[in-house]
Amino acid sequence: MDLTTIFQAVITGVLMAGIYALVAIGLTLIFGVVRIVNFAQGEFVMLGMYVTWWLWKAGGIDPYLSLLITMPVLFVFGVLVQRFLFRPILSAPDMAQIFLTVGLSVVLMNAALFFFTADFRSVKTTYSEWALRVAGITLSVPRIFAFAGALVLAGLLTLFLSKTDIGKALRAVAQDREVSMLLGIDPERMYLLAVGLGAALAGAAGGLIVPFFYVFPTVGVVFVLIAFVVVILGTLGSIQGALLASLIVGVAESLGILFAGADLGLVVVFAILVATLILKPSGLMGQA
Amino acid sequence: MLEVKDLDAAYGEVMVLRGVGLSVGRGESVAVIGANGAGKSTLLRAISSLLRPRGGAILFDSNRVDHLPPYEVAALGIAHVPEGRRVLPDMTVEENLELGAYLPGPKARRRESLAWVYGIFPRLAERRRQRAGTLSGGEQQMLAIGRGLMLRPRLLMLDEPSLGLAPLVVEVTFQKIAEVRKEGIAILLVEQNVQRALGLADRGYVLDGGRVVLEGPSQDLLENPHVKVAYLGL
Repeated sequence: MDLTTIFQAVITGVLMAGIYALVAIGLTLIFGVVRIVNFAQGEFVMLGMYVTWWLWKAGGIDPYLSLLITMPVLFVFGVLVQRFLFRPILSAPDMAQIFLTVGLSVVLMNAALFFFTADFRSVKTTYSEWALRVAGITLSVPRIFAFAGALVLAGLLTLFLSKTDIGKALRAVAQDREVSMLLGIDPERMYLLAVGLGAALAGAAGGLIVPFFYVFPTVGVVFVLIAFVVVILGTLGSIQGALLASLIVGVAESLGILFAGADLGLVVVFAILVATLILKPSGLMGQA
Repeated sequence: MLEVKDLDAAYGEVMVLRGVGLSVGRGESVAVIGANGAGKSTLLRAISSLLRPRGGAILFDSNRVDHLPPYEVAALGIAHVPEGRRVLPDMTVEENLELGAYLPGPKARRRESLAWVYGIFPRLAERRRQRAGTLSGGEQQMLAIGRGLMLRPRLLMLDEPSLGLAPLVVEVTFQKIAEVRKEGIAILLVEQNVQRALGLADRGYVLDGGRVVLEGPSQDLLENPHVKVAYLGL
């Protein structure tokens, strides 16, 4: 196996990392603020993909342009999920919360199966097959767009959380819910915002990959698994940690596919997860 | 201004406050003293609505506030500086202060309030870009008080500001509280450090087993034989 092939796999992994980071950041935002582990995060990605596909199929709208619709739609969906599903079980035991989000994931998958069938759908754009060739390495243009789009969104979220009052209020609720109330913050509203944003990010991730990724009802499963690995590896609640961990996971998966075969890419990812849990349970950015 | 009437409060089955009555007038400073577990923190938590009372009433400007959520109580001008300071550790000093003026009214005066708080606590101005979690205990206490002041409160409630601080730092902290008092802000101070608390306050209440067992002007309480024996170790 020559060096170019390995390098090609590394680049492919890096380009996918932005998407993994977006899904994981949404997951960690919801957990950080609302304290709910959302096993349906992958299905939020799936919904984003179907919305994008449908807008393209029915309205001929370009997948990147439709982010302007997909993200608000998923935001509203997230707000409704928080209001009607998460809120009633916030003080319930962890097990009930896990059952709820796993149940939501199953319901969404089957709803997609019912409405869109099990067919693999794809969006063919003029640029779907575009690629740059640099020193023998092929760079898929839509993958570059997906990576760049994910970085832009992660950057915007970071700015929002660090520069705006509402962003700071979100962080305050994550750090100390009781104190945030004493400062005049209504945590329930921040919960709505956190789940809305988490869903919008997942939806954006879905929209960004549609030009090169098949859409099918169970497509989210892989994303949620990877997001959990990223979140644990990258220290829960840290955006920079999620970006770094996504790079590691993306490259590991890609090299795993190259060396061990397409079915074993994820095995390498989970091996890294297990090693992290044994060697540094607090994650890469963890203090202890 | 603040009136607590016949207040009962409990954690689960455990009654913590029984028939507590207390008042704080405009610009007045009032101390609540008592041993650990006497219900002092619970009293403040009930006033700021972090804890729903079991019975009785809490009135602010003659309006009942005991059914409002905490963020609406804050909006009325009641700032609660909680026990253990509870600064937001991952945010900078200035971000903590800015969040103190999160509500629309205080937000409109944020710049002015920041200058005012930095004037009272110059140390916080020096550390404005530092993460709050890296401050010393005394500095965190100043930050917690400063954050409360950013609300431009009419009533500032302080829960054990001397807790875990070295005697010299306690001295400085109480000097600062005295400065705040001179600004005309009413203070409700809960303390185990009886000497300091009564030294600062106009009036005091002694809480024991969840009941008010004594009340009166600070000077009278300091000279009261029961207080001397039980709380001042004289």
